Amino acid sequence: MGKSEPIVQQRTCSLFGVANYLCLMAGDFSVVVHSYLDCINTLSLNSFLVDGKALERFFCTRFTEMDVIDGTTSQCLSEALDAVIGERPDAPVFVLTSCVTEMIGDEAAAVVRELRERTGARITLMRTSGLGAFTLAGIVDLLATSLVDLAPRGMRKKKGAINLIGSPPLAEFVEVFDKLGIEINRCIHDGSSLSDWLALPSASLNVVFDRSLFAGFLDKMEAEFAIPTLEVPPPYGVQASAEFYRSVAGHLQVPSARLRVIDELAGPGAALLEEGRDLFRSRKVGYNICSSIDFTMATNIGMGLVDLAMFEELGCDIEFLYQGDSSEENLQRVRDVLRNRGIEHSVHGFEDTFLLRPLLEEGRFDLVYCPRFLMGQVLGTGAKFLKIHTLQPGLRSMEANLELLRSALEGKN
Amino acid sequence: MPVAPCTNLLGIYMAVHAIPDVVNLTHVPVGCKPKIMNSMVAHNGFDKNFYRNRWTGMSEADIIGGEELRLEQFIQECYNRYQRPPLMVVTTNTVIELGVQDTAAVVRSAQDNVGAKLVHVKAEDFGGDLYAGYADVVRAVLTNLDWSAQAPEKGAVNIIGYVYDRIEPDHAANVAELERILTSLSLVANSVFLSNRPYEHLERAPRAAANIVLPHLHEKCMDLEAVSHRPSVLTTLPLGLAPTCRWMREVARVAGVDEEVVEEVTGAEMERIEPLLRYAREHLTWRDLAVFSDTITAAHLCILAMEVGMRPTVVGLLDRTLGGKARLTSILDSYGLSLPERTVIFEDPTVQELARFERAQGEFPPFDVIIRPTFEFFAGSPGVIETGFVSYHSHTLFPMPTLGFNGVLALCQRLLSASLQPRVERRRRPPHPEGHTGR
Repeated sequence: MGKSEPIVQQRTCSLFGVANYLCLMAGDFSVVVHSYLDCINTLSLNSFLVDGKALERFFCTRFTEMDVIDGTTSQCLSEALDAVIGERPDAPVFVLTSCVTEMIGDEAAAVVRELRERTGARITLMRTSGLGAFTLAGIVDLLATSLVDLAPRGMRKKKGAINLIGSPPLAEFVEVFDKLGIEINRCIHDGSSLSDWLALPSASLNVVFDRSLFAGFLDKMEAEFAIPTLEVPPPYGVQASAEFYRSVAGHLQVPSARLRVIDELAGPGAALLEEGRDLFRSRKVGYNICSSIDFTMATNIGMGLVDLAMFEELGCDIEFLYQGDSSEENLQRVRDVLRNRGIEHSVHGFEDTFLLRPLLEEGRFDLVYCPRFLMGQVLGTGAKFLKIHTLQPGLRSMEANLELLRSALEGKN
Repeated sequence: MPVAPCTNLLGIYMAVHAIPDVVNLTHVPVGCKPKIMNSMVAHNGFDKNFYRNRWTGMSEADIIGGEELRLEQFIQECYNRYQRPPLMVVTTNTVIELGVQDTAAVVRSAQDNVGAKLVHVKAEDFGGDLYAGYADVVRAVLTNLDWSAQAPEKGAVNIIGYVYDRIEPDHAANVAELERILTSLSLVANSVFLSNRPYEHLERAPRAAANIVLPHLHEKCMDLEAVSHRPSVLTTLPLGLAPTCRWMREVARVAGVDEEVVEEVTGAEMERIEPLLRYAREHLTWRDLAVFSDTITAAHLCILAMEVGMRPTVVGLLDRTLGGKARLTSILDSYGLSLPERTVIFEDPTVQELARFERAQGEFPPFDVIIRPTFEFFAGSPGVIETGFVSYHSHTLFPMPTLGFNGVLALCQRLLSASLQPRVERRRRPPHPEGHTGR
């Protein structure tokens, strides 16, 4: 119910998603969630992922049923903002709306406008809700676009410096780009601080692995900060990783002599890849899609298929195991969406978790790459389990990735 | 922002999860599912089988447009897909109820077409808490039973109101301990609401001659005697030594067991555990304890702590429906106990309140051991026992009860272990101002 478009990633609550990112983000700011209590019921878990008191910056308007009936929810927001700004006048404030405020037409925008004018405070309204309109990419983009709005204009640009947007913070990137003579201005990932986001305009180039994950943000960076975008392949596997480095270097016209660093790393990776192919060529791999929601930016690249290239490079025989509306009509639409991205593997559907097991049939797959909660459905079918998105990017990760896959095939995961 | 923001929706989900063959059909917007699942998956360390749950995942257009027919079809589909479960709980939340759909009428209409019993539970998301939602499900199951279908059997009693919040051995151990105590009184635990047993187990509740209602369900079971036509007693929570003894007396009274039998059983149990408790007291007396839990559990943890000589110095009540400070005081009072005057009590605290409190303590937290669910305060504190909802890090590999006599021992074991954890160097402790306040 409630689904009309083909999706290869679940839609989810943007309040939950944005709050999750803000929870992980270091910095002096406040978040006012304009909702009833239930909307913030899981935030306490997220704070464990970061050091310090992440949740202390979070406030909830906690409006009541009577506020909804009387139409006084906006007043609750106004009072909450007054209190928050009164206590920390210099800290930026993010206001997140919710299902109820969106449904009843709460005047959050007017309240925010009035408060901005009256107090001069930096208040950013993010229209969030769990009413089904948001993809994971949409949530990331909403966050990124809102944050860059706060960035100061007229910042001095560092010539040749790049922003790695949505990339995992990998030591290899720093090392390789350093040897290439390319400065990384900021690497933006889930744990980036507010100051990292605000420093983005001082780069000369934004490097992304999936433009669609940051569409509005990149448009804004191009239009308002004159920073162009370079889209590169996500660096999973030897070929894609090397291409990633070469693309950036090529774009910035790095002298060819410096490119040796890429070959030096790719060489051993290619040798390992050959070894890996002997073991994995034609192995049947079930790659699960749409079963879980993961807000990690890096794993949402390419609609969550960020590391697919690695399996392809190893010569695995991949089939997608899609959880969702499994009517032939919808599956065909999912195939079409994937095909538009140049992905041609077959797609099988299962609507409910317990319907995965029959799909796996005895011996049909060697390995199923899926979230942990599906493990019980996999084991006992002859297939081995590997938790999804555990493969690592970069050329140096090749050895560890192969070891992980090897031990998974031996049933050690 | 409250430290424990969960409302009824999560409690409803939790309760249905504790009946393994019941299907939960949650009729809510898209966004509610990941939040509930996030918490439940983290809280359940081993059991990841959440597949008995279906979510309608409504969009704004669905809600505004009305979805009566499709909800009814959905119920029918679920009934067939899940191979005709005995009971289906249809849960709706505030956002759905704000729409044009009369969900209660849809559920009533769907009932004619499915063989399963359908129960409609509305989650009130403005306030409430998980205990209220949990109680709503138990109440709905109880009132849907045909209490006239079976004749009561002497000696059989139902236990109602056990909060089985995750499928882990700690809860199995508690149920086993209550059953063991009942057996020692020559009683039989007929149905335990809830105990991770199939609906059939609950359906046989009318076979019991009496109902024993634990405190988390008191409010919802005031009229249980009239509903079930069986004597029903609202008991204490058998957590701690004195409460366990009192619970046995309350149960015995309603089930017609002689007081002498109770005394005999209690005597034997005390003989078994007293030497062990003496050891615990030697090491725990004058230790300071912080407790963050729901009001009922917190009160009883304080009682147990005082029974072994500890001083509850900080108490945080993480619910909104179980009576708060007044009930905490009244429970303690009923055992002739009171908290030390300097004890700080938080009722439904906010994150900011606790952060301020923590900062004010400087480097010396005012306790040696803290019992708490997963939260970000006093992260570096010395002795931590993580328990209650939500417990992200602690999962039980081995049965460790908290209730009954064995629960007293198991908790003392945990308190001892926690108090022996490496501690920050502290100033010399002042002498115990109240002296030993044991039972």
